[in-house]
Parts: sequence; structure tokens; C-alpha cells
Amino acid sequence: MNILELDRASKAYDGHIAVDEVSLAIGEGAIFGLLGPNGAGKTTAIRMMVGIIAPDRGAVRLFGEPFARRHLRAVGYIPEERGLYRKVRLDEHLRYLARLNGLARRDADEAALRWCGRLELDEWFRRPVEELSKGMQQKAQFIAAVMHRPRLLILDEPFSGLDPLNASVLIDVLAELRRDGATILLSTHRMDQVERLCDSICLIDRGRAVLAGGLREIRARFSENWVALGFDGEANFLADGALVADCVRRDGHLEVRLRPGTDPQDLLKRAMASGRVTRFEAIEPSLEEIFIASVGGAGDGG
Amino acid sequence: MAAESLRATGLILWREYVQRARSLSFILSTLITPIFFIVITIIPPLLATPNLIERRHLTIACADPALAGELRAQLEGKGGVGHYLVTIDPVTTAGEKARLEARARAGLIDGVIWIDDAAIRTGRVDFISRGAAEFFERDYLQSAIGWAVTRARLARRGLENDEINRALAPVDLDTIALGAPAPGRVESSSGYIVGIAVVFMLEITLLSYGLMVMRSVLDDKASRVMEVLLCAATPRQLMAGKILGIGALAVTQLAIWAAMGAAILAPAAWLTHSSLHAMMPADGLNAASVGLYCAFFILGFLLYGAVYAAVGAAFNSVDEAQQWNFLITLPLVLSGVFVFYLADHPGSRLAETLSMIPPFTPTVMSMRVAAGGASGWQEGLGVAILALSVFAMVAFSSRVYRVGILMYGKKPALSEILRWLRYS
Repeated sequence: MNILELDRASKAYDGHIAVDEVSLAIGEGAIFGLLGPNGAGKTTAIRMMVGIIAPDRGAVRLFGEPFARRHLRAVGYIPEERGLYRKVRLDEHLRYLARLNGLARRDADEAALRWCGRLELDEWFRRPVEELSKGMQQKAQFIAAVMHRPRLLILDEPFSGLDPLNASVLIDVLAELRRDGATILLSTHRMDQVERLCDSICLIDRGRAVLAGGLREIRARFSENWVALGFDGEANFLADGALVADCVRRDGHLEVRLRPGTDPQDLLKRAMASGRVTRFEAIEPSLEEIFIASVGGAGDGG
Repeated sequence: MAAESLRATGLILWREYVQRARSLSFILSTLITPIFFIVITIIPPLLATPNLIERRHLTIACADPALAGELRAQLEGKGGVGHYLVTIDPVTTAGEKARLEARARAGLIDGVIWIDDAAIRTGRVDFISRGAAEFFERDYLQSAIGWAVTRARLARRGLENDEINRALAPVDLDTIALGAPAPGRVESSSGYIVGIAVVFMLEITLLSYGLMVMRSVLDDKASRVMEVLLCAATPRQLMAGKILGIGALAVTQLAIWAAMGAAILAPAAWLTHSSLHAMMPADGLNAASVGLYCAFFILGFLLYGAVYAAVGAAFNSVDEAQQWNFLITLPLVLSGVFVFYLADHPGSRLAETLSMIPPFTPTVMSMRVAAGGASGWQEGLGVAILALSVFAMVAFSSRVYRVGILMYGKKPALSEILRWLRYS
């Protein structure tokens, strides 16, 4: 079952099309990356998923059913902007949100205490939220989203304000939650985290989905047949235009682009026949390179 | 679903209520405001009372012993606890006047009231003192002297004491209201006073707590917590919980003030072998009237609360909301400005018209109820109009609230806010 689906969802404000017929589907237990440059429409799409705004056209489905507010009991949401009652104690803030999400008071207290211990906020449990650092506030926001054991987590820039150590802790927690059966949608600009965590992605640009699918499949689609070759010997085979389209010398190795349709194994055989091969691996483009190639130079504004 | 909705609204209401009820500012304002009003009610009249601290020594120069005695009794008060210590000088010659002036100039006496035969005939009495008489003292002396001189004149015309007492007996004015609430005698003017008090109390409470709603919404917007809340509750639940929570706070404060008032009056009632009910003004504070005041307060707060919630949601700061705040408060402010006219003319065309205009209804209709100027059907109509306007305003405000709470950036124009009504 798909836990979350957008079916040609569209939203416009005063003539400006924020989201234009975006479709995506997230399977149960998956970690899904929602990517896009600033102003692409990610936040609008996310707001439609959690019912903050309604699509003008298209549909949102949660847990296999048309969107209904009762489904949100099983959803945990972190918006992009950090949203906390600053003058209130951390425990009171967490308890309040947990109770709004359906937990009984005792369960809310127990969950808040447990999670604060897990994310090293126990010393700040009874302190006003405004006394917490940015990173701590982000962790508090995360706790507020997961306390009620949601089946679906929608996280908009969850690593914002976190140092590498805390970001790593959060990644471990996300992996744990996934093992426990949660489905996660992650909207972030941190490509390294998407590569580390996500099974599939959707790239939105100017309100439209320009790229969607499994991460591996997308990488393969963009790979362009580059191979890193470490070689000692005569490299005459590299002049074979039927095999090699391009060759770039790098520090200690060569990067060879094969002709479309050619098998990398042919290059390996030719290299081994001509000398000693010290390195041979397919080069896949990074997600950042794929992102830039897909959205071009219009990454800011729009 | 309805139970879930009520639960969410209840949680929000409770949070809004508790957070403010336990704040130092609420506790202080609840305790200090009644003390402040008691002080400003009691202190000015006390200060206006002549010779509050020490009694002044006056000499009454008057050849008429009865007149002098009557005036002395007025000035020294019952049991000699009045504001003056008085001596009587029966000699009213020019030389005696000069001697008394010298004593006053020397500070041996504080003043001389010179009443010779000419003064009794013409009504022109001299009060001689070292400095000019204080404003309230002049008024006080004039009243006492006028009373004594009038009695003396009647005595000189041959009236006996009994006849003089009968002639000068005070008059009780009974007013008979033919219209509302029922034809009958209105025994006192307490309804006038109660009406003014109710109007000012409503004005202050609706203004201060309405502004509290607006500031609370602005604070939530500034803290960016709205988006998180909207995943757990609907905009309507958030708005309703906030308005009802702050409204409950207002009711709590009013109830505490009423209890403080009863606590102050109860010992006095016990001491005078009376009851609290007997000590209250007769008009304007019966069960039906109080019930209507409560209804107008609740409906009025819901109306203004909804408006203030929408204004708070539409803008990003108190400064931006200021111009709208002026327009919202205008009906309440005007109610206060015209309160004395309305109290005097509760059945006038102006009062009737204003009491049926929803922003004015809570205050003006309450005044008309207290002053006995509204009929039963007018009271019912006022409640109905206000209830319908609350319903309409909540519907309008909730649409503005729903969109506005997520809008940040430049201050929206009215046309943009009206467009929000079409957003889903």
C-alpha cells in the first residue's frame, strides 16, 4: 500500500502556479526524498499533504484513502520554519502537542521524557524553550513530531541548525523509526543525507515534478557510462573511437566515457590485454550533479 | 469526529487559560484593579472634603442666637465631629469686625463668618479669612449658611420651629416609568449609576481582553508555531480555543472582583443587620438584568474576540494592526463618550438605534436595561441580533484566520485580505 500519494495535485495563488500537477507515491516503510531549489513548490506540496491547504485540482491520499483530518493522527510533521512556544517550558510544550495529537496525559509525559533522554535534552526538560540553542530547538521540534508514534513522518529540512554529530544522531533515529515501520518523507537540500537515507526521490522545479523514481535507477539513468580506470601500460586502446567517447586524465587515474551501448567489460578486457589494471569502477553521478543538471541555472527564486 | 473536535478545542482553551491565569500580570491586575478603583473613588471626595486632617477654627459673628446656633450645629456636625471648631460672637459692630479681622490676620482664628442684619436681609454674607477660601470649602460654607439664614428668615416671619421644619422638609421624587420593564415606580436613580458602571466595565473588559486575543495570535505567528499546530488541529479549533480560553480568563477575573466586592460588603451587611441584597442598588441589579448583562458580555466578547483574532492573523505586528485596532475600538469608545447622555435618555431614538447595531449592542443595550429604557422585546431582539452577528463574524474571521496565520512578509492590503476569503 502507498502510504502517501499526490495525484496530479495543483495549487495556485493569485495566478502564480505554486504546484503544477505533481504526482508522487510513497510505499509503506520507504524513506522518500523531496528535492527542489528554493521556491520550487516543495513547501506548498507538503502543506497539501498535511491538510494545511487544499489542492485546487488533483487529490491527496493518505494510508490508501482520500485525505481526511483523522489521518493526521498518524502523521508527524516538522515544518521548515522552527515553530515552538518560546516562553513555555520544554516539557509543557511537548506535552501539549502530544495531547493534541491524541496521547493521554500520562503517555505524553512518558514519551516526552523518554525522547528528551534519547536526544540528550533531559537537562533542559523543564527549561523555557527560548533558552535552548538552535540545534536543541530543532531536536525538540523533532521530538514533538515523533512522540505520538506516527506511521508517516513528513520532515521539511529536519537537519537545519544541527551540527554533524547531532545530524548523525538524527539519521540513526530515522533509520530506527523506519525499522519500526514508519514511512518517512524528507525534504532537504542536504544531498549527502538523501543519498545516505532515501530509497526514492522526487525533484520539483517551478512547481512541476521533473524527476521521480528510485535513487539507484535515477543514478543509472544519469550515469553516462563513465568509468574510473587505473592502468599501467600502453593505452592505445583508448584511441578506439568505437569504444571510447571521451577520456580525462585525473590524479592517478583516467576517467573514461564509453560509447552508448558499449559494455564496460569490453574496456576492462582491452585494458587487461594491454597492461596492468589497478583500478576499474563505474562512476555514478552524485545527486548534487543530477540536481544541477536537472534544474539548470534557475536554482534560486521563481 | 465531533468529540475529537471538542477535545482539541478544549485542550487549546485550557492551555490558553492556564498559561495566562498563572501569570504574574494577571494576578496583579486582578488584585490591584479593584484597589485602584476604590482609591480613585474614595480619595478625590476625601481630598475635596474641607479640613479633612485638622479642624479649622471659625468665629460666627451674629446677633441672632438661633441663627448662630443653627449654623454652628451645621459646621461642627453631629456630636461635634464635623470639620470646624466654632465660637459665636454676638457683637456685630464695625469695631468688633475690625478686631476679628485682626485676629484672623494674626492666625489666632482661621476665619470669620460675618452675619449682621443687613446680611440676613440681602443674603450677602462675608467670610473673612487670611487666604482665599478653597473651592469646596466655599461651597460647603455657602450651603450651611444658606440653610441657617433661610431658617432665620422664616422665624422672623413668625413661623414656629415645627412649621419651619415642615416647610423645609426635603422632597422625595418618585419617577414612574410607563414602558419597560414594567409600568411602575422607579424608586431611585441607582439604575443610572449601575448602567454607567456596567458600560464602563464592559468597555474596559471587551477592550483589554479583545486586545489580548489579538496579541496572542500575533505571538503565535511570530513564533511560527502555527504550522505545527495546524497538523494537529484545524484553524477553527485553534481560533475557538483561543477566544474561549481568554474569555474564560475574563469571566474568572470578573468573578473574583464580584467575590471581592461581596467580601467587602458582607461585614457591613452583618454589622447593620442587613443583607447583601438590601445593600445593592435596587434598580439595574435584579436577576433578569444581571442575566442580560452576562449575555451581552459573552456575546460581545465572542464578537470582538473573533474580530481581533482575524486582525491578529492578518498582520505581522501590533504596529501593522494599529489602524484596524482604532476602528474596532471606536464603538466601545463612543459608548463611553455618550454614556451620560444615554443614561439620561435610555429610550431616545439614538439609544434605540445604537442598541440594535451589533458593535454597540453590548454596551448601549446594557445601559438601556439598567436605566429601564428598553422593553422586553427590544432586549430579546438585541440578544438575537448580537447572536446572529457573532455567528457571521466567526464565519468571516475564521476564513481570514485560516489563511492569515500562515502569511508572512509585507503588510496585506484590505483587498488582499478579502481575496483570502476565496482561498481553500
